[in-house]
Amino acid sequence: MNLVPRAGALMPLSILLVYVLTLLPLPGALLYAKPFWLGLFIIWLSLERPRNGRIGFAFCLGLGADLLLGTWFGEHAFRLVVMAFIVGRFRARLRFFPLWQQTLAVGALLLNDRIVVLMLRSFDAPVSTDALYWLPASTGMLLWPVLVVALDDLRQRMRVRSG
Amino acid sequence: MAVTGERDSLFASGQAQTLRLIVYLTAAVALMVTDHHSGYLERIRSTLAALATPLYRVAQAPVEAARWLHAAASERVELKRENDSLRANLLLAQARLNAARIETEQNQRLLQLLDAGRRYRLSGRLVQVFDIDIDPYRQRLLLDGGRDMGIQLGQPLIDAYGLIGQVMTVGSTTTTVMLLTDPQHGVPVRNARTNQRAIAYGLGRSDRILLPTLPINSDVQVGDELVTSGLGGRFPAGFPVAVVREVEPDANGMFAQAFAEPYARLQHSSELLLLEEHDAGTDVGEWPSDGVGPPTLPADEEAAVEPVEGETRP
Repeated sequence: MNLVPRAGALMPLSILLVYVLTLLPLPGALLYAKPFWLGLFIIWLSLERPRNGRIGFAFCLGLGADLLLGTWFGEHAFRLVVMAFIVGRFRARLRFFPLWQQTLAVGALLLNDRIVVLMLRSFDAPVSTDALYWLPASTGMLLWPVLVVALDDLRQRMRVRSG
Repeated sequence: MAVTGERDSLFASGQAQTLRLIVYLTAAVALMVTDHHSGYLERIRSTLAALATPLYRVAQAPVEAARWLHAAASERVELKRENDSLRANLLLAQARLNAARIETEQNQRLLQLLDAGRRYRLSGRLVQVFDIDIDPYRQRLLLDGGRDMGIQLGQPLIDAYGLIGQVMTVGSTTTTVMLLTDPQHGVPVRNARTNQRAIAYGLGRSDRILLPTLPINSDVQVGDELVTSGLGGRFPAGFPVAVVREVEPDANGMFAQAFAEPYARLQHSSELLLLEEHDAGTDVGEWPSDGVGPPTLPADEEAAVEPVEGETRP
């Protein structure tokens, strides 16, 4: 039943995968639709594997992302910490939502994240946005059910294999 | 393990969680502020960025694979046609370059007649852009190469169409470029038609830059070409920057403002030219000409020097 040791081995790989997905260039207009992979990762992690120190983990993951992406040191950390905190707060409820409801909640979280980004950036200089700016929140939301089903399936298989 | 985790999250006091949140958020804000105001974090970042390079290459791999597939799959005929048109373009460009060289030479002589202090010679080198996506709303590019290639802070970059921006931070193996469309970026420009000078600021959008506070009666028209004026000394003069798309009075009607569209293909460039200015006296030979030789704009200088000596003599 317990997947923690396996998860320990998988974790570094998952982190690398999420970073690579974040860096992955997308052609043309798809660029604007790129989901916030790090956020989805943190949401999934906080829902599936609750543990103390999630917020700290989100912080470190965010700092790594800031180094990779050249954003202000601490920007992604801020975003992910907020996300991990909210999910942690409402975890009991979110976990037992039916999938469609959970998807909507994830959409709201991602939308909130876009607002946080807007807030952080506007401290520096006035930011101009358009409708496209909000697109990543919707793509992330639409991806969520797919991700959950795929990851659950993956877990089932691993469980079978490990007996 | 999982069971204790469950209990922790169910019964952890909300206060402890909130405290943790506050601590981490404060830390993040503190880091952002220091990053914004001081340079030392930049040094840490540029050191660590070397570690990130392999990750960039991994993220780059699918793009390269797609490009390779495209090349492999595209028809021979198509490649031939593309090759032909490229060759024609090259010939045309070469002819224009020759014409420009003659003009540059003349220009150089005239400048010497006017005793215009320092002469510069320009050279450039091709740099590769990491085709990774930082964020379409941040006007930045990442270059493959840093101090190891001799890249320096503030060096301007161009592509085949116009000015791209300037080097913002240099790491050991990577370089961040601030595009001219960044809200913090300004470039001194000159209207090629009227010679009026202005400063073009970024707006945070890749298709517009702004010339604010122009005199209300100034002669700016849609379609005017803006080139770098060379004032301030950071950007060499004469490189195309943008074309004026809109002219309108500003909010309080005291000034006019113009919106211009950058010539450079900011989102699609995979190779850029990094410009290097030398005092004419310094030796340019140290620049390695890997395949593409640095195009040296002014022609041989001794030819320019000799006649001037004779002519300025009364």
